[in-house]
Amino acid sequence: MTTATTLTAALLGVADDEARGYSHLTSEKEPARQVSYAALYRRARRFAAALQGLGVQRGDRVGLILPDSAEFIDGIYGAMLAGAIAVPIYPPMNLGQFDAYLGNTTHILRQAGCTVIITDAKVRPILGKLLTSVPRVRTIETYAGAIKGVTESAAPTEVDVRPDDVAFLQFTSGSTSRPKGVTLTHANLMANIAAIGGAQGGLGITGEAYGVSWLPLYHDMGLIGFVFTPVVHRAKGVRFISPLMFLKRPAVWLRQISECRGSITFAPNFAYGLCTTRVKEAELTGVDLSSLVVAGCGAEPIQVATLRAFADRYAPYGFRSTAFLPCYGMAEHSLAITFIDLHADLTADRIDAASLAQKTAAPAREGEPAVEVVNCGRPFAGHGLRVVDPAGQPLPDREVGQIQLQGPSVMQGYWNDPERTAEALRGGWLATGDLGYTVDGELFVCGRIKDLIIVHGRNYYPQDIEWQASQVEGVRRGNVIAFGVQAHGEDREHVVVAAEIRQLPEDPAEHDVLRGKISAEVLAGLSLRVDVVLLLPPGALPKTSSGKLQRSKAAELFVSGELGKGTQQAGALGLIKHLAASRWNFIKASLGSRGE
Amino acid sequence: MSVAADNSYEGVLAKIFEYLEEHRVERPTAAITAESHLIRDLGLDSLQSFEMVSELEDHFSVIIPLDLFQSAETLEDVARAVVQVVQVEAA
Repeated sequence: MTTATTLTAALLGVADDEARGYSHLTSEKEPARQVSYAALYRRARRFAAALQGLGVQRGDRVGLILPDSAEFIDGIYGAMLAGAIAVPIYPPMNLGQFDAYLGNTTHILRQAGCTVIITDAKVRPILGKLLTSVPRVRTIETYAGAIKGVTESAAPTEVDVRPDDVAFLQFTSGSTSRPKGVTLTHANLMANIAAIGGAQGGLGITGEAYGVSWLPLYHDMGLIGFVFTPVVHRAKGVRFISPLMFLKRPAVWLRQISECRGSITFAPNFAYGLCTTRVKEAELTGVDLSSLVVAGCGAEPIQVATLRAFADRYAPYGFRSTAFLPCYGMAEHSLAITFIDLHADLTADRIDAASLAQKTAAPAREGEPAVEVVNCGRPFAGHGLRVVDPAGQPLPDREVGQIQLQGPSVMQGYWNDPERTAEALRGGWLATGDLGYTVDGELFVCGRIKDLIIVHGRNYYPQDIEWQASQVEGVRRGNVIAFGVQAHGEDREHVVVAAEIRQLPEDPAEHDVLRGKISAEVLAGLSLRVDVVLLLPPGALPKTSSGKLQRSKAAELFVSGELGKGTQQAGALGLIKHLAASRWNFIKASLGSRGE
Repeated sequence: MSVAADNSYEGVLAKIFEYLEEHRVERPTAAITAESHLIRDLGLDSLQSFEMVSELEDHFSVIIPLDLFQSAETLEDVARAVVQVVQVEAA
């Protein structure tokens, strides 16, 4: 662990290390490319000099749209060395969906006030029209083009980077409407990273630790967890795997852990599920997972059944279930909030389903219907965590309420957005919008109050889904509600779209066609699969007296089987019964939403 | 593969049809053709598309580069990508 107080100083601390550092696996046919810490330092300095050559000054925001992980890391450290504020923006994943992508990117660039964008030769042509729609952007340059302007040993004009300087902006992922720019200083990041790797309550990262990650680097878990943390704690290194390679063939993650003797990895719940269902035995020849000390799980609701299935499947390959480290975290708190003890086993609370609906997490009796809530562990030293009721009063153990946070890891606010900053930071606490309860200082997370729908680690805002559904002919525009329902025992939320139809056709076959069109529209616009489409007559959706749609009310009605009663919905009833055991919506509905 | 897979364009396309018949979640009314769009007509999300590609890789014993597949929009595009890789590897 370094004594540095900024990430740039931490980087300087490993600048002489030619032996250790990162490696990048981006293709099945080529070996991983090595970039030692020393090489990283040289590359980042050159990039910083190049940025300054492009006229970038202290505090300027620089958009980074770099699919190549090595270039992206140069970019983010380089921007810091130049005194600029990096704004990571995810590259387009599917080349057929530019419109939604450009809409999202335009919003981020405007909100952040970026003047310069650094990208690669493949993405650059797509960004051309941004120059007219975001006039503040004066330069779109490729990484290669930018560094060509300076020599290989170029160094930037020294900038005195201070702990209170903004290190970068983390735009919340997934939405096409209004991503928020989480503003983090060097001090925020250093506090969180110190806690993440610390010996007490953290991962105990030493010079022997080796990380393996396929996480996208424009997401907090990938960037802070695997790009910044290893440098600060001077870990042996990290193997980065392209996220697309993982999605195509999840076994690559396990094979790389085995090959690198990886000790630390993190992933959302769904990734462990994919490894259980999609990996064939033939892909696991010679795989040995016994080196793994930490298999972190966070970023989306944790399903204990998914993790147990993974542990069962991979025990013969040396995986120890004590490696599982469920955690709770969010970008607004830099990254991590709670960890379970490094050597503790995965544990879950068996809660009486009926009591949970009443906002109390009473342990279930033997034989009674129960829901399992994973123990996410304790907050870090020097950080505060409490659970409050809707009036903001702290709740005792086992009472479910909103989780609030305090301490050095809490963000400064949302960039250029005082309104939503004030909503999130009230009375010295960060309102997480998540629901949970504590037992003897340990946190159990029940779900999100806000209406975010998280599928495969990506965030979807109901407004976006509703807008897409409204594009279909026959749908009453503005009379669509989308929400997620956590299907018990499954890896992901089920996405439900309830749409009012101007004139419901009489022929059931036409209902199928209409449902198909709505699903297709959402899929095309957001790459999101809708699980249930309900067609409703005009006026069937719950609204407030002022005519505002009530999402949580609709979800509650759906779970109880009352939404759209009497309309044609073949197949929906079985699903409703299946979902009735779910926990999130009971609580969501009973506590209401932040900002509603 | 104990029996060599038919890696002509028609053979690849037939394998794709066979795979989709077995695995497709949605049952759209229109028939699957070479022109079927992965998202619009077949309703495949990105994970499902990737799953199909890894299945094709196993069947034809090839590795399809990510960028080749990223620009594919229809089944014909996917089949041509596979054929292209097969021919490069055979050469």
